[in-house]
Amino acid sequence: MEIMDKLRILADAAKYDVACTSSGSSRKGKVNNHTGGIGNTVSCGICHTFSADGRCVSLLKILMTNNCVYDCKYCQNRKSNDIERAQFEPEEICRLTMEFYRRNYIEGLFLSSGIIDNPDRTMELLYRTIFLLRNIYKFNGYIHVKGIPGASEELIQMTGFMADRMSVNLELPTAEGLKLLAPNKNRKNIVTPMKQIQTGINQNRYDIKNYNNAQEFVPAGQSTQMIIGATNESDYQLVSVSEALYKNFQMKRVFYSAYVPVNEDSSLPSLDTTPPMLREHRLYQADFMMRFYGFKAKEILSEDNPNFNVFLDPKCDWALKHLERYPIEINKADYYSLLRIPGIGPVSAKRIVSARKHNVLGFDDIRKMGVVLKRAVYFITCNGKMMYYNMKMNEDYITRQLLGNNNPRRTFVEENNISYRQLSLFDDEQVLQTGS
Amino acid sequence: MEQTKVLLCENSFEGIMSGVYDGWIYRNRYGRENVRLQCSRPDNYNLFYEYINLNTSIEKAVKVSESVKKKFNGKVFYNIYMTTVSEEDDKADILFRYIQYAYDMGDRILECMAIPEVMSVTKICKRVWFEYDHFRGFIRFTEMNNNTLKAKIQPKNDILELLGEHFKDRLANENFLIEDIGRKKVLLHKKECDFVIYNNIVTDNGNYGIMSDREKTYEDLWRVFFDTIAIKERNNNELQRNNLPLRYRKYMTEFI
Repeated sequence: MEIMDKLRILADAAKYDVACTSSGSSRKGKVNNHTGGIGNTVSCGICHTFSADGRCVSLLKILMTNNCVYDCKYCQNRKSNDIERAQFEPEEICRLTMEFYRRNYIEGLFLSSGIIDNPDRTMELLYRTIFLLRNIYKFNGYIHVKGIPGASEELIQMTGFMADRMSVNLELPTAEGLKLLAPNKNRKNIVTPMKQIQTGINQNRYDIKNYNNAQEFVPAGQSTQMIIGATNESDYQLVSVSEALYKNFQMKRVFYSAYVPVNEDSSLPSLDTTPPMLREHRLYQADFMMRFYGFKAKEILSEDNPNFNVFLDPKCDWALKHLERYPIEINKADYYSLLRIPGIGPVSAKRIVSARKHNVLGFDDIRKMGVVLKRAVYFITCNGKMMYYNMKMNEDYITRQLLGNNNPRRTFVEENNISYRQLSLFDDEQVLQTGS
Repeated sequence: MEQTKVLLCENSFEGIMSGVYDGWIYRNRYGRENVRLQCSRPDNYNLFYEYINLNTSIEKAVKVSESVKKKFNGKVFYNIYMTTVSEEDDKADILFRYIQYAYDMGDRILECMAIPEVMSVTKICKRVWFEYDHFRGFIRFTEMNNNTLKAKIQPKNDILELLGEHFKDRLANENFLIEDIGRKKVLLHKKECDFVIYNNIVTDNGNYGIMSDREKTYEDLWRVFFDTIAIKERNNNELQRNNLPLRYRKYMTEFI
């Protein structure tokens, strides 16, 4: 089989994996190293191109093989599907990575795989590929490898010392969902390597501090991903699951992937369902609220209110339900209260905190700092004043304003029957009428 | 009233820094507001201004930059460097004023956004950094038949040196050249050495040399990968265009 076909089949098989980031690891290149070597990593990650769906492409995202002995119902590579199958040789992957990297197409390699025979053999193949790439081809760029659930501890440990990031896919948010759709996988097998990688990273942090030659273990941390919309969990369950993942496994990221129907099955949504993109978007918003804004899962959603508001983002939604906390005074409130204002993010909150040391801030100043006044204006005061005096602290009013894309100044003009227009000599109706 | 002195310096980091050194002497003599620094030929000469040509002196430039490095937070020097490579017409004068403020108030300058010059320097830096960051990812090398990698770019800001620093570390064991087509500058990097930048090189828009035999194969492989990796059900051209504006696509393999 031509390498071209292999790449087409195995990139196509890998495209539903979402975690294509190259961030979190910072490593200098090996300059003037006579043994050769190529590549470095940048902590913020670099996007090398954007595909037609608008997602960032930074890694060569491929499967080792799409031959799989498992029969997960949601997956296009499942055993029972009649599709083209292919398998890369480790050398082929290494050569592709090196040549793409030299031409600056990619930031590194993202390697996952279908299960060949058993988890151990699969993990061993992944390990062998990474080993070749790091030691024979002297590749020093970014490598993201999937941990295969059920693979032996030693293999995962050894792979971890050569990868930048590892991830074990949670696949489905609940154990019941997993049992239903992925009969060959079980929750325990997935959680074990996650825990192992977490312990490994913590242990390694200690080693690096104390020993000079300690090798780094998964320096960019671990991530995971789950499929949204294949089973019928509520959003509250999803948010709680990811909160638990961040807390118990110190995940760097949890990724959500809107379910794209590829297979027909009685236990799956029908083939003509569109991917739940808005839900995925709201989940990422909630995810960021938990990671950077200090929100708890049960603040964002609750048992009584288990699903996201379709019209409002979760932060606005939360603010509208807690109007007793607003308006917040920009010049006095602490950092965490500022973060809870819709339209203010970590960057603008930090800017406000540092700039108000020097002078009192007004609405114009905070607009320049990047505050989105369109949303923030209903929830803040600057120096004791709100921006327009007709604004009401009323849930209905604010919701209407936020949704209708209304400018408060315009409503002010409309409500008070003020109208204005450009004066013109010629087309004033009155003049025309009396003149004729 | 004192006549305004406009000092004309060379449009380069060294030129502007040595301009700042000379500007300081004029400033002490004629006062702050009567001296302007300019790094481009004026389109229109003002009748009441006096125009003075300055010569670039590396020695003076080094004195100024060393002093800035020694006295202030590293961020100040970084800001100054990023501004000198920007496309801004007014950058020399903004910098001249920025440096004077820096010597007035020290490191506090990094926070005092209320001063217009400080604000514009911050904004310019951000713009330059964004472009540099984009090109770090979007630049594409092609392999020539002598195993050299060649890339063409056409950036708004003069980010060639920044890119050189990045790729010197990343592709330490490669011979490569990056050509800035708009500015007619070429960056050459030899295996395991530092890089050199040549100005005023005319190269017929970078169409020279012969591609290596396997280059075509890898370009096709990359195009296949690029097309396959997109999920058809999620097609979103607007998002793609926001993230990767059209002006970058001119020399990108997957869009040619």
